[in-house]
Amino acid sequence: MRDTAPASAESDATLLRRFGAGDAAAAALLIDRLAPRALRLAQRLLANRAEAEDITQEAMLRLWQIAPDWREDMGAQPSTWLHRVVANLATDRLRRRPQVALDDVDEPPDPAPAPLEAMITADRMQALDAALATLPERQRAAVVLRHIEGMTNPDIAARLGVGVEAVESLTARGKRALTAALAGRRDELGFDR
Amino acid sequence: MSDRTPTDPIEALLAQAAKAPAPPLPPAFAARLLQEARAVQAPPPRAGLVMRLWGWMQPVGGLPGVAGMGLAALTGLWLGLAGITPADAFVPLNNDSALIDLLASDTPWEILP
Repeated sequence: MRDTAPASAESDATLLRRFGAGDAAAAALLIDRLAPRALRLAQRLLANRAEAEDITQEAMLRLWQIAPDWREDMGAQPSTWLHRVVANLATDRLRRRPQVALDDVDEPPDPAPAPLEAMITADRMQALDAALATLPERQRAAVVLRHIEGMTNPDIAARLGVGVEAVESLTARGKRALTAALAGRRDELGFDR
Repeated sequence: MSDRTPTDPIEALLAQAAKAPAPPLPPAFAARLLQEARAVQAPPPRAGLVMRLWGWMQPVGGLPGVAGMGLAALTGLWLGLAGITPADAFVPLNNDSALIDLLASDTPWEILP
C-alpha cells in the first residue's frame, strides 16, 4: 500500500506494539494513520457508507486484538495487513450480496448524469468515487483492487471467487464504464492534460 | 500496481486516486473507533510487588524509616502489654529507701512474697 503516514518518529509497528503493551495514546495515533485509508477502501468497494464504517470498525478491532502478538517478522506492515483485512471483509460482503451473473451485466448505457451533475464542488477524486459507485459491484471491486490497490488478477480472482479471465473482463468493462461515466467532465477533470 | 506512466486517462485518474491522501475520518466515527480500541486494550502491566512496596515506603524514608517505625511500634506494644507505666520507669533499680520503709513498717513478714 502506498501510505504516507503523518510525520512521527515511530513506525506503525512500534505504535501497535505500544498499544499491545497498554499504551492508550498509541490507539489514537494508529487510528489517525490507518483508518482513513481503510475507510476509503471499504467505501470504494462497497459504495455504502454505513457498511464501509462497519467493515473498517471490524478490521480495526482485529488489528487491536492482534496487537499483543504483533511481530516484525510477520511479513507485513500494519497498514498492509489492515488493508488486506478490509479488502477481505468487503469482498466477503460483496459475495454474500445477491449476485447477477457476470454475463448478464450489460455494458452501462450512457453515463447517468445525475450523480455527476449533482456534485457542485467535485474534484477528481470525488468524481471518480461517484463514478465508481455507479458500477456493478464486481466491476467496481475489480477496478478498485486492480488499479487503486495494485493487486494482481489472480489475487482478485481469489477474493471475488471468480476466474482470472473474469477479473480481466470485469476490469476492462469497469474501466470502459468509468470512461463513459466521466466523459462529460473531461475538461473539468483535466483528462487531456 | 505497475510503475509505468498510464496513458489511458482513466488509468491516470485511478493512479492518482491510489496516491491521493484519504480524507480525515468523521469525528464521530473516529471517536467510536477510539472507544472500541480502549475497550479491548489490556491494562498496562503493573509493577511487581517489591517495586510497589518500595514506592509506598518512599514517603516515610524508605526501608530504614519503615524499620524504625516498626521497632518503635513493637516497643510500644511490649510496654503496653507489660503494664509498665511512665512512673515505673523512674523507680530506681536499687531502691534502698523503699526497702527501709518496708522493714520499718508493721507489715507482717508472712505476707511478703
